[in-house]
Amino acid sequence: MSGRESKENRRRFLLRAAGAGALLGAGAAGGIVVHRQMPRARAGRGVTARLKPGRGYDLEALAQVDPALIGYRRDLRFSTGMKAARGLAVTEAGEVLVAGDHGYARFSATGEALLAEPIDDSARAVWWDSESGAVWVAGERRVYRFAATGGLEAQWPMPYEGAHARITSIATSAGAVFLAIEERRRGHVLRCSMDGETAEPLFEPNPEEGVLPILSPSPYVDLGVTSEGHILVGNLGQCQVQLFSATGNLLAAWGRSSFAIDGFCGCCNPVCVAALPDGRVVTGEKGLKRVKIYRTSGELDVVIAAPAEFSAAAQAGEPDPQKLKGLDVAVRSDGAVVVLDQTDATVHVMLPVTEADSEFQIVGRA
Amino acid sequence: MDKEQKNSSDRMTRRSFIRSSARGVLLTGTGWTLGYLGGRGTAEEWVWQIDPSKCIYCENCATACVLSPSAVKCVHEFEICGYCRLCTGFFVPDSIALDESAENQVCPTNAVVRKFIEDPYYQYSINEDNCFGCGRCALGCNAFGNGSLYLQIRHDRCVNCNQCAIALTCPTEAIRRVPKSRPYDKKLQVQEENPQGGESEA
Repeated sequence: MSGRESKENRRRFLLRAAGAGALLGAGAAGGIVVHRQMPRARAGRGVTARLKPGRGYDLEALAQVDPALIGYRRDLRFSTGMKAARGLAVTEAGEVLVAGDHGYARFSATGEALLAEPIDDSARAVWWDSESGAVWVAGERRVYRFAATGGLEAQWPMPYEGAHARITSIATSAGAVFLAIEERRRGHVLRCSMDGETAEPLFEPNPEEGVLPILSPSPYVDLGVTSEGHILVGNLGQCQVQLFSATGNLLAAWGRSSFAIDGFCGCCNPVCVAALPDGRVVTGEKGLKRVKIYRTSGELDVVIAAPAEFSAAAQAGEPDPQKLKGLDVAVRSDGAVVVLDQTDATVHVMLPVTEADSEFQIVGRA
Repeated sequence: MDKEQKNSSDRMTRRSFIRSSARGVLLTGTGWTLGYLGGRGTAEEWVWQIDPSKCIYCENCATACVLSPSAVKCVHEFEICGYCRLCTGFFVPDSIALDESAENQVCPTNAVVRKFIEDPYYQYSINEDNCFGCGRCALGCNAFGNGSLYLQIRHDRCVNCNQCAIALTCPTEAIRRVPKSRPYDKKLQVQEENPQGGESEA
């Protein structure tokens, strides 16, 4: 065999070996890919719904509200554009303040965004001080005061020890700041000086005299202030609304757990409270998203919004654990009730139904 | 002469073509088999699990599983629980009384155990021998409470079928394969992994 032939044979051998190697490698790669993809391909395969009739909690039936009880209609709905909108307040001029994400936003009465101011913390609640025009924003563990025209004026830490404590609501009355605080399924209300230097509990629980402790299975303890300066407390774990004077005397307490329209549904409601100028109390519930007005005696007066008023995703039964589920309410000086739906971060402005509205609806249907 | 011989040896005959093709197919097949077996040896194993964020507690889990009772059980994530006296995962709507009488319980098999801790808190736990995965407790808890009760496939029971029979009937495609090294979907864990998705504050 000549040297040239030998060289030719070696070249041919190398070419064939390379080809065989390539085929073997391609085959191996294909095998690995098929093995890895197979379980995922199996998991995503055809799904057929074969639902049986529901039993246990019939959420659709529970969500039904007699239309005759509903005395409000929706005038406006707008999105805040926030990922996690939590708190709501309304100014004298009807501007809407929403606390959420890491700050608060101001919207005009028609829903146009006017201003947004950041804070260093997750914003949980907002309050408009009718005396000074200042905006108070509560973060998880800090309190921020903004000027009426915008701009941070002051901030101070939550005057409460407790590694797991967080603020759930804020209000001002009689020259004091009131903070609702949730810690390990218990709620507290603190009366603080305007600069946060001093703080004391608004009241001490005394079940024998009807002053029940605040239970907070979920962090929704809410505060409101009546036109007389009294403090409304949404004691959700007791399914009660409590009314205290600014000095901490219990003036009234009412409410019961019930899926009936005059009760607070489930274990932990109402999640928000607000006072109308005439003293009646607006309440909001999660689970079955109901907004209602109660008389000062605790009797149901009128339903503002039934669960059907809110978006499909926001209604009872929504299983997504990533979503906030509550509401917040505020009252405009003209009697309109403003509702924040945390699930989809939208604001609903509800107006009382007048006779003219009723006639218009009848004509409209005809 | 040499040139003619070389040309005839280089010419592709039918026999040499078949031989080369067979060799190619054999090599590719061997590679495929080796790759598949190698991948099986090194890749993570998978098991079936329910995604709690998609589950709607339709009760199919109770009846569609090849096991009887089902391998799906209710689990309780105590960190999320409110320890409520009135638990909507335990009591039927507007129950006659807040006690453990059968008529007050939402669970048809007494699988949810209620235990007094301190006034007014109660602890709820699951007796898995009684639970058959209907999810009625989880529906009540998720609709009105904190959502600490939810359904999971228990891997001390699940036989890990190639095709999960429940997955075929699940209306929300909540059942999917997860790595065997992380066989359960904890709700708090899901939230930590998706911090942009908001927070659970049911």
